[in-house]
This record gives sequence, structure tokens and C-alpha cells, in this order.
Amino acid sequence: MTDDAVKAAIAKWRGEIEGMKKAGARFVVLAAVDHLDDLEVIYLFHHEGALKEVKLTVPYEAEIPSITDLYPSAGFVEREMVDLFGAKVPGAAPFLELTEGSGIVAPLRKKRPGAAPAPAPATPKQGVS
Amino acid sequence: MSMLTNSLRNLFSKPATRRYPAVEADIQRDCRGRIEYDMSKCIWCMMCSRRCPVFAIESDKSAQTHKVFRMRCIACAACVEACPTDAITMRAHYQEPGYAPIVDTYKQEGTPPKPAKKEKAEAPCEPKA
Amino acid sequence: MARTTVVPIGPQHPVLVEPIHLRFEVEEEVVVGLTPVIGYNHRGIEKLMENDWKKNNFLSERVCGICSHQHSTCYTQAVERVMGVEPPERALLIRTLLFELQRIHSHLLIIGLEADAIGYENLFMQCWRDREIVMRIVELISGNRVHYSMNQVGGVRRDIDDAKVKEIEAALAAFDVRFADLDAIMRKDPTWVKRLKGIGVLTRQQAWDLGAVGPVARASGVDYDVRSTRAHPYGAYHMLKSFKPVIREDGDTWSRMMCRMEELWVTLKIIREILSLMEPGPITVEVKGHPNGQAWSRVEASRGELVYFVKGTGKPALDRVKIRTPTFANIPPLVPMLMGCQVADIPPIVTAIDPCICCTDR
Repeated sequence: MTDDAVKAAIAKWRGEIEGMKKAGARFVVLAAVDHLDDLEVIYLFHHEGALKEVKLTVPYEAEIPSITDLYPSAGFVEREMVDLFGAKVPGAAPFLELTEGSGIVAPLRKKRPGAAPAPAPATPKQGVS
Repeated sequence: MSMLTNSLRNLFSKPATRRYPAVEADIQRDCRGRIEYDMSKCIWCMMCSRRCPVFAIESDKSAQTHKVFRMRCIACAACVEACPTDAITMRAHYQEPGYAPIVDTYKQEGTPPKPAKKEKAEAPCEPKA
Repeated sequence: MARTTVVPIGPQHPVLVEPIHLRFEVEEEVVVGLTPVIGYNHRGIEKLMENDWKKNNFLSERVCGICSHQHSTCYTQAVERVMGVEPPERALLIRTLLFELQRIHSHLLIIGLEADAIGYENLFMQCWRDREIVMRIVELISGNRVHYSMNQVGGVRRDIDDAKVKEIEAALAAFDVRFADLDAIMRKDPTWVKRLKGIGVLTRQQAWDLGAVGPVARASGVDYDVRSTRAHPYGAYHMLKSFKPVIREDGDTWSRMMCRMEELWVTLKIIREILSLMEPGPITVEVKGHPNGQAWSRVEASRGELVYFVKGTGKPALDRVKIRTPTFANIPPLVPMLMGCQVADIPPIVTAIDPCICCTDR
């Protein structure tokens, strides 16, 4: 995605989040889904008994603004996205950082950046004939 | 009843704790505890080792043995449900803790029985729900 | 001029059952700052769940031992929504029956732990002895005291016969007596009331903004219970008339524990209604193929709202499973609750949110 496309996507997404806040919806959780080079983030809101989703798809290099100014409850889930996927969210809350010094970088991504190729998991023999 | 009355009543009644393992445990019937193989019925479809979620069963068709890793077994009864000839039964029992991994080997002597009917022979290839 | 001291509580601490790091800034016995840090119990369960969708029933149970069946139900529901499977009515009733039995054991556990946190060992032992009644009943129904393994995609694995129904009713009768006792103690016992009233206050606006769920939110006046959502009924709650959420106004620690006590009464009514509604019938439907698509699923676990997101691409391996547990949502509200309290009040306030750190860290 080009820089302009990313900026447009983020502006549109931000507009939808502000719409949710104005309508009085409650932020439930966000789910980050890995699409190899892009990160899709699905924000789930609860409004008057119905669940609504707001989606954002950006490349991993793009910075996703934090929504804690509108929804303070999002701090922890955003930090989890940073720790587990290597997403960039400036100003996310502090956590136990999985990434620093442990050699484990973005464990939930399918194409792990810069990490040594993971050894093949030792699958115990199952159904050997 | 106030806490004082409660406490006085408890002071003069039997202890509520059962001193297991010095005393036998109070296991309910149908408790999921320990699997056992009836090797005369095994037709070597391998469904038990394929369905085991923790790889606690290793089956060897040519040597005609099933190895059960007792310390890995979580007593979920997935193997009991998967077996098409009811060769595996589940007995109510609490696995005692130990210092070493316990492996029980079940060997089948002689030739395995043929699958009984045509419907039974198809069941091993199609995983149940 | 008071000096600020940093008091780190955790990850290993006698009052905490599980590892969480709470960094307090304290000025002469009064807390003025708090930073919670989590992640010590991370086991990578979301990554493990990507292996095989059929075996995840057993894995999702093992995220937490206290809310094991609730996790399993939420996961199974999510996969059923993706695959478009509708379990039969009897299966939904059995699932909900075990769900509510798990709620009884979880609330009795936390009432006992709260008593332990304030030093009231007598009440702690009483609550955990009463828990044995429900532990034996679930072992009778499902085969295990902690991990029930009753769910499978499409229904439940075991049925309940009439002899078991009679034993459940006997247990409910025993609970009538025990809960009346416990209720009287929690309302009138001077040790309990004086120690817990007025500490750890969370206002309604704070509970709403910080995303509190479960009894923590309902004790502060926020009317949020997943079981009341008529738009997405889950389990058998759309068939039940006796469910009413318990809302209290004060928002302090005593209200949170009373909220749980009153939920225990509602749970007894729900279980009796479920037993009266059960009709003979199938307990599972046939399921073929692999999940292809994505779905959200929410349940009201004993601690609050539990959310699962499951995405499958038509293979035995899943693409993504995301779990949001209630304690994960209840830790940010700890910050305003603990601000301005005495250091000695920290254990009762932290225990009253029903912290389950293995749920938080997965």
C-alpha cells in the first residue's frame, strides 16, 4: 500500500471510531489478524445490544494511532498487539516486553521478521504404522 | 446462623477433610480416570492415536502394540469415543503422582480380528464429529 | 514533605495466587500511583490453538481451571457460528446447566479467597467446604472435578440420566441452606462488613470508560451482562425466564462481593428452571468439514464477559484465535480503585476483582 493509501485508510478508520464514540458505543476488544505482509485489525464495539466491527488493514511498517484518548480501556489490547505481532502503536501502555532480549520477535506472525527460522516442532509419532 | 454458632458446631463435628491417599478417594461413578485396552478387539484403524490431543498414545501396526504414556494422558476420553470396536474402556481412577514417566504397552497376540460389517470398516476412515 | 516509596507487589507474593506485577508508589501508607505489568504467565495458547480445531476444545478448557467449561463453551460456540451448526435444545440445556454449576463453584471460591485476604480463615474454610458439594456433582455429571470436557462442536458428549438429576436436586437443596447462612454472614458479620465497606470505590463513569466487566462493573451500576442480550442469545438463556442481572450502586468492595452472593441465588433459580425444561432428545448433531470464515462469540463467565474470535480457512488448522478474558479487562480499573487507599487495603481490593492471571496472560 502506498503512503497516501495508508493515510487515507487510517483517516477513514479514525472517523468511524469517533462515530462510535459519539453514538455511545462501548469498546469490547480488538483482534489482530496476520495477512503475511499486512496487518488487519478488527475493533469490536457493543452498542444497544448489537455488535459492530470497525476494520483497518495496513502494512506492518505503518504506525497505527492509539485510541486510548477516546477509549482508555484499549490500552492493554494495543500493547498486546505490539508484543505479539510487532505492530507499531506509538504511546502504547507498558507491558512485559516479549521482544526485548529474548530472541522471540513477533511470535504470532507467519513471516517472522529477522528471527532465526524456527526449528521444526518435535511432533511425537502419531499413528505410526 | 451467625459465625459463632457455625464455628461451635464445626468444632464439635467430624472433620470435613478426607485424608487421601491414606484413605480411599471419594470418586464418583463415571469418573474419567484411566484407559485400558482390550487387545482382542483392536482392528488397527489408528483412530485412537490420531484423536489424542496430547499424543499420549503411540500405536505401532507392524509390532501390534499400543503404548500409553500415563503421565501425558489428560483423561479426556477422545480415544474411547473414537474407537469403532469399543476396544478402549475408561475406568474411574485417580492417577497417582510419581517421579518417572510411566509407559504401559498393550500387545496384541496373533492376527487382528477383521472389521465386523461393511459400515464398521468405513467408520475408521471418516472422523466422527 | 512526604517522600514517595516504590512498593513492588509481585510477581511472587503471599497474597497473590498468581504472578502479576503491581508497582505501587506509596506516600506514608497511602497509595498515590500504580502501574500493573502482566505477561508472566504467558503460555502461547493463542498460537497453540492454530494447530487443530478439533483438539482445541480440550486446550481452551485449560486456559483456566476455574472457568474451564466457560472457555470451552465460548470456543465451541464460535466454531459453531462459523460452520453454521445449531446444536439441539437438550445439548444447550446441558451446557448451560454445567455453565451455571461452574458459576457456583467460582463464586464460592472467590468469597472464600476474599475472606482469606482479610484474615478470616474460618469463613474461607467454610466456603471451600461448601464448594465440595458442587465439585462432586460435576464429577458425577462430566467425569472430572475441574476440566469437564463436555463440549464438542455440535453438542455435548455425555447425557444426564434421571438418577443424576435426583442428585443434582439434592445438592441444590443443600445449597439452599448453605447460601442462606452465607448470605446472613456477608450482610451482618461485623468483621466482613466493617473491613470491606467503603474501600476500593469505582464510580459508574470510571467503570464505563475503563471497560470493566462482570460483577466489578455491575456493582458500580453499569448494566452489562451478556446473558441479557436478547439480540445474540447464547446457550439456553433465551428459554429461561428466571434470569435477572444483579446491579448494585455503591461500587465498593463489599458491593462486589454482595453482587456475587446475589448472583448465586439467581443461579440456583436458573438451574432449577433448566432441570424442569429438559425433554428427552438428541445431544449432538453431525458435523462435517472444516471451519471456513470468522466469527465472534461472547459468554458471561463467572468473572465477566469472555470473548473469542475464531478464523478458519477450510483446513484442519485455524488461522487465528483471539481470546479476551474478563480479568484482562478488569485490570485497568484497578488503578482508580487503588488510588488513595491504605497499603493494608491492597489485598482485599485486588482479590475482589476476582483476578485470574492465567486467564489474563493465556
